[in-house]
Amino acid sequence: MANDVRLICWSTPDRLGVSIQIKNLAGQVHHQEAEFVQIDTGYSEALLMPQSLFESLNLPFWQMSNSAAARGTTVTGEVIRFREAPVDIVISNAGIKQRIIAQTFTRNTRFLLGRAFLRHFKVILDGPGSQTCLLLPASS
Amino acid sequence: MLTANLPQPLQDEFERTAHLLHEQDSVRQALIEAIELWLAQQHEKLLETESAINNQAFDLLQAELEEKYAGQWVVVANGKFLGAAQTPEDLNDLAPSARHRIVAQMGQVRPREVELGWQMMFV
Repeated sequence: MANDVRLICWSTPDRLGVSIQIKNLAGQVHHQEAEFVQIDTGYSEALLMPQSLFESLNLPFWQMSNSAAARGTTVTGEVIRFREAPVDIVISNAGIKQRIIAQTFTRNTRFLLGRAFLRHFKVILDGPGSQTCLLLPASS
Repeated sequence: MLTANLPQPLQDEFERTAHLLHEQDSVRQALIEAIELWLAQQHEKLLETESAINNQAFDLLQAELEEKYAGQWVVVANGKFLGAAQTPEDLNDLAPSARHRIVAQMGQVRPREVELGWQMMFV
């Protein structure tokens, strides 16, 4: 078993997350270097990004319709209407490129990966080791 | 070079505040910040206007597009249906100057209610 897998790990002493790049459908990346993004297992979707990043990646150019857009409700009862667009998540050192739906909403500054992202990967949240790892087939 | 006459009280207050916040080159720095902020606000308004036009058009066309292009990706921009293709990338060349387009896969069902998680629950 141990020979059949490899681990790609990030040192994450205080927060659990992975380093990713986000690429729009024209191939533009948000940063030349990968950026650490925290995992929130309470968030059901794949990726929540700041509104400023959604716009700087020109994602309104690939935006899904308002009628199909997801909604969420905060503890105070405020209804959040999401803006959504497909993007590719790239993890270069793992050779991963995964198409997901990115979300944002007006004035959002949070940057999170959620459960829909985790459904694509085996992830080890290694608390004692202060690291987060992706478990990948050795041949990938 | 831009030249403009401002109302005197506004100019006085602008210069006074700029000197308080910026040590060097104060009026120029404050003007740059003001113009950047104004441009960002106008871009947001233009984006919202295009988005409203495209969503209105998409809502009117949706049933017809679902029937004709089931499983395909379609694009609506400038308030019109512009094309359909097997992948969203195949539609990248349509309406290249648009700020906003709707790109949707016909027949795709997505969850409507998002569980926000603790970080978003208190926004």
